[in-house]
Amino acid sequence: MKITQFPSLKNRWRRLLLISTLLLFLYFFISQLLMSQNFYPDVDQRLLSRISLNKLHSRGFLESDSFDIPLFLYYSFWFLPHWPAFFSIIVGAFVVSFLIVYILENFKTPLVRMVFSLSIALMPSSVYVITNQPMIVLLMFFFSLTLYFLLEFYQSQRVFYLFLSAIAFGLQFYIQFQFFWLGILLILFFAISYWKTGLIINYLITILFPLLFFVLSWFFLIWVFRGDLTHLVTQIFSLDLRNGINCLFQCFQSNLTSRWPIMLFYLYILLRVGQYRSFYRSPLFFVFIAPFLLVFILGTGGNQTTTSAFIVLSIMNCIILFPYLGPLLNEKRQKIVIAIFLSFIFVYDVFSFLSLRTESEGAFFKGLQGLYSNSTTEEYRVVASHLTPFTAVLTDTDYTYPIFNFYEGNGTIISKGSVYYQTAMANPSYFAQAYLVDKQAMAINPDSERLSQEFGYRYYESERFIIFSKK
Amino acid sequence: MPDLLMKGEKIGQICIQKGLITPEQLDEALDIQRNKGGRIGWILSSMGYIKRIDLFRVLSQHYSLKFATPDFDRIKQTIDQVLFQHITRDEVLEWQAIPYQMTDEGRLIVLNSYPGTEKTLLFFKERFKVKEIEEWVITDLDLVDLVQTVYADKLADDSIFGLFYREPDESAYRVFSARQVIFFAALTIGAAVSIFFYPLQTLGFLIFIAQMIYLIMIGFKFLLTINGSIDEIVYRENSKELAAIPDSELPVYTILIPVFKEPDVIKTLIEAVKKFDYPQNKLDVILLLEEKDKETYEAAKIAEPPSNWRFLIIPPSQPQTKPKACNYGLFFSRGEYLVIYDAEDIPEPDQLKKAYLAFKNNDESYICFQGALNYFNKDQNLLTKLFTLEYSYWFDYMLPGLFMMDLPIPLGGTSNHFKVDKLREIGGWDPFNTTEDADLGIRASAESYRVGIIRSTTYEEANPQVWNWIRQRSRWVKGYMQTTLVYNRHPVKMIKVLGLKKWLSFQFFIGGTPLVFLINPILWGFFILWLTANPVFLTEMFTPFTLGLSLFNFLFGNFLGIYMNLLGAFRRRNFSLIPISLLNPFYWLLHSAASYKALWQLLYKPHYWEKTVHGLSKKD
Repeated sequence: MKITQFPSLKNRWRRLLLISTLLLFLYFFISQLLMSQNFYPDVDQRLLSRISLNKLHSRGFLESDSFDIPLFLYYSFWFLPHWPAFFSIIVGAFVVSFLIVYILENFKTPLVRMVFSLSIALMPSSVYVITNQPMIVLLMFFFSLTLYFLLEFYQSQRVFYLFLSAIAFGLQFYIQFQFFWLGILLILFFAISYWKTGLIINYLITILFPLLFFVLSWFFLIWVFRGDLTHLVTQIFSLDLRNGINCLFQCFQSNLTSRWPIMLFYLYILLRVGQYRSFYRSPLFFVFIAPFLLVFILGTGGNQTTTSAFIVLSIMNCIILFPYLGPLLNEKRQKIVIAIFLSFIFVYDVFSFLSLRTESEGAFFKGLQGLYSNSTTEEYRVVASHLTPFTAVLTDTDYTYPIFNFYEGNGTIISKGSVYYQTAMANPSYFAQAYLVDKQAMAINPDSERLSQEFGYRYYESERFIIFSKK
Repeated sequence: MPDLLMKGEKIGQICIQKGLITPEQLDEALDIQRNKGGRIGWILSSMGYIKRIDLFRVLSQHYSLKFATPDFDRIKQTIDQVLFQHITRDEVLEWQAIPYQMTDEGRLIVLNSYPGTEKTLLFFKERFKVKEIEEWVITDLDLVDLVQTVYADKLADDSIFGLFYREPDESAYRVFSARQVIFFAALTIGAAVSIFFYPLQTLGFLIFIAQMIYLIMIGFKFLLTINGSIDEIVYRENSKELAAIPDSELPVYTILIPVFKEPDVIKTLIEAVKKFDYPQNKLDVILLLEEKDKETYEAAKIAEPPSNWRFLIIPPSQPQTKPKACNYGLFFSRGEYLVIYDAEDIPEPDQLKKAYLAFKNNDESYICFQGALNYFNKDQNLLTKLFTLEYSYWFDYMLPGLFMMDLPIPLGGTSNHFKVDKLREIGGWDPFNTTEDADLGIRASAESYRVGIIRSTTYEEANPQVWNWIRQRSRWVKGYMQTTLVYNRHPVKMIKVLGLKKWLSFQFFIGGTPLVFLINPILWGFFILWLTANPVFLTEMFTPFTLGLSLFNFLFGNFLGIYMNLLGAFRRRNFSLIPISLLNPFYWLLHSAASYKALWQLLYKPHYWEKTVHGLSKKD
């Protein structure tokens, strides 16, 4: 029986480049369309504002207090913090293009090729995740790479693949710290697979070394630059198991009810291959449960996985799984299964976006139709535009941080992280031209009253914020 | 050689009549001759059934010629030197015959170690304008002895200065060119003046430059590793193709083995050569011995190697280096291909065939194929383990990476298989360069030749003693420095010849390696100072960007260095070495020590060859 394998990119890079470029334009367009309606990607606003302010003040990563932000995540937003989906669109476009090349390679009927390719590229879940969930896209990308290379290594025993798998696995720590705990699963997997060889320790050193390096180097940086190793390390490795389990449970429950085509697929695979004991000892099983693992780990870090992300990850893993299941399933049936699976997913995806999804997913669908509006984000944007003329602004970014995701001026923002903050608080009008304050914060912060009087003039007031300036 | 002359009784029969061999042994040799080709006398001799001197005696009887070897001392003294004005050393070696005297009757007496060839006689008749030739048979060793006597000065001069005469700027005879002296002087003075007036800014700038070099080196090595790993994926074992090569197709292969004070390893060496999956009668093994090294010479004589072995005594002259010996050996090589092994090497038996196949399957641009090196005594101690890790990474990832990216490959010390005519064309080895192999790889690239990689390993002895290791490594690093200086004498010309990509690769790989090891201790010093005392001047020297860069290089560079070595061990299935790879940073300290020793020697003893003591593993 023929084993369908991933296509080599060496001879197909032109095709890949063409599809990637087209998809990049498409996703960029959608992203801009959504942002023009104030629908912004699902990223922690506080994180983005910190990056924006660091850039504004030319503060490098080491000088900022960013050790609670994973390095890779930080730099994925660093280039364009006002457009947080930029990096994930590039990664997403590449991955989807690769999947399309795979389809073109493995399916011979032109109609089937077209339908499947368009499904993967334009499925609402794919577009939603790529344009709105940058962190999850990055995680899914590296997680899938880890699994893919692990499978290749398992099959070919080429060290190169183990190397790539280990690096991709380790890099995930720099996207979400909780991924460190997945190492335990890897230890279990290698323990089961290589116990009899007596080489378990060597395998574990090899696969876990990059992860350990990334973790230890992070500790080292915290120790050198912050000193409070215990606090940050506790924060980084805090594992909210209850939330993780809850997320997992909810995910499983919602799959059974609202995403039954995926569960059908899982059931089918399990029935086909679950009877082979070796399946559970191979990385195939790891891939099989990967979407649930991701949901669990994201949950332990306090992040809820959207239904869309689960679907996309399932499809990606399906693509990874099928070449290896080829000998078990036979080629013809394989194609039929993929065909049925994708058809279900696509139809169901469009349908479910209309009724079954979360608020954010529903908003996304409105945004696609140009019907979305968000007055809160609009307020941030307007306040930010009013700050532009000032060369120095005093503010407490603990409350006003969302404004700085839209700030396009070059002024100095004097906030709690600034060197001059305490001095500026003592003599505000000498250091700053304006004072930005959150109305709610003003009510509880005694300094706010004093500062507003010092500046005196209400330059601009929105529903939530006030800008004071000197007359 | 073709065109064999009429002959008398068959050689095999003569041997049986003289009681030198049994009929069974003759049948065995005839079988080999039928299957693999070759001349029966040489087959019998290479199988060790008859002694060399008996072979030539039988040959003389077979061709009814005088056997002159018993009278060799007299011949050596009475040979007519005038005759050598008409024939070159290379011609003598090509025809394996040398003119002795002209008789009163106008006949030329030719001493021949490969008798029975019409073409040889015709050549001598034409060259010396004589009608008759009188052939006397001498052994091939006698012939070599005569050539060494007659052409002694020329041989010595060519083996030392051959490359220098060919192209002075390609030789490391002069360490620095005038322009380089001016350049380094200007750089030193400029830096000194700048440090005097702006000490912190200048040092900060120098640190920034050093960090950029690190960054480029890390990126470059990572890229090489990725490419070297791809080689692992695309490579397909060619054992079937190897087995399909008929022995009759295989050419004569010269094996050069330079030895110095290594009497203990001769027997092992003979056994290793016997194990080659290559017709023994097509092997031309040359043992290169230094004249003052009597003990090895005696050991080699006692071992009685087969007749396809020759000893070449290298006359004493300075520099006394391995490349000089190799050049000397190259003059006497009879093979179409040539390989170098060290005395303690244990090559995989199929290596010569793999090299031949590689040459056959690739175009004429290939001058050399490098085999992988690894160590047989890896478990001896911590140093040998770390050394094995380094070599596994170097030969299994770095060199294949260079090959995959079509970049200049610095050859390893042994197991480099050459096409002899091309090797001669580019001038052989540089005796003044202490890593003549690396230099040769770069020169080959500069001459538009390519170096390839073959998947066959030679097992060597890893240096198990720290001081001995530092001596060896300092020699290698000094050679890298010499090579960098040699090929930077005319940088613009080199860029034009090599192209920018190869030129940059050369700078990073050959020039960058010693530079990084020299810089390492300085930066480690700064790092420790920063962690412990964190003086203010360091904060001023390290701008935020330089600090970030330094930390990245420190963390990621060390990680990659360790991890790559670890993978090398994994690929070789040397699993016991995997945990040892974590100790690599301590090994790099030794590199730095060796690099400073090398720098000192480059300035004060540039051509001094730090001899590595071999055989220590056996002693342990």
